[in-house]
Amino acid sequence: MTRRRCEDALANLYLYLDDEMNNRIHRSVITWHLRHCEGCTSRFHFEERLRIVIRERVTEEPRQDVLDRLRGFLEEHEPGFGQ
Amino acid sequence: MADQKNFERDAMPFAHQLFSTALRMTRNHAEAEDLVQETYLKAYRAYDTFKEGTNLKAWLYRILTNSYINRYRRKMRRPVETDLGDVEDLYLYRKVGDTSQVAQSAEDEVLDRFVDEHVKAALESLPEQFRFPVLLADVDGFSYKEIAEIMDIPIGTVMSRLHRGRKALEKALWEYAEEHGLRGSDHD
Repeated sequence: MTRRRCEDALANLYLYLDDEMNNRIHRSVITWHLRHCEGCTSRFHFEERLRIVIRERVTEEPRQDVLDRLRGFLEEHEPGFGQ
Repeated sequence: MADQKNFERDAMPFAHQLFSTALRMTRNHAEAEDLVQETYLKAYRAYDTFKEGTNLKAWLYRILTNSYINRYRRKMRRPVETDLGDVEDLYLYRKVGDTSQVAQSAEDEVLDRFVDEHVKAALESLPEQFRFPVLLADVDGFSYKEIAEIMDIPIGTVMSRLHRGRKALEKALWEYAEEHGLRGSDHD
């Protein structure tokens, strides 16, 4: 795979994964490149997996006590809430 | 315009997610809870100004972020003074690549060994001007445009802070990993 295509793909890695590329043709060119370049696919896949790991690790489990206190707080300050 | 009597039904399902984000913003449980309570009270009182059919989640996050800024007197719009240093592209991929050759596992399998506490600590170690865009994009799933509106900064600023913040996060993750012996040591 040409070095130029790899450089272009990697330069647009964040925009591509964020689905923020305005130029759809350019996006398709990168998608095509990824189908044919193992090195770039591995790097893109890693970044994708990294984001999933970050999201999973930093998201808190729902806490019923926190939600109950929030409701209590709103009911206390706004008698119309929850009516 | 939205009707206050629908507030509970419409807005409360986001409360948990806002709390989770508030916790990463404030790094403190009690303060996060206070911040979410303040956010919901403001949102409830202003609900008749919310345009129905537009993005309620983004609207709530904007109130959350503004409340944070007011409460802690932060200036998100100020140019960034903190120097994160230059982190090379694909920093973590390269570091993990060297390790996984040793551990004979695929690069992304090494990621599974990162534990909650280290990822939280690495994210929380970022200065807030970088932490917020990363949090809003990669944890809460907002677009660049939505983040620009939530933080009231230009979209170009969102992009540069998000990109630099992500790289700094990769470096912080790697430093935690090194410090706590992640390198191919999942059996000890």
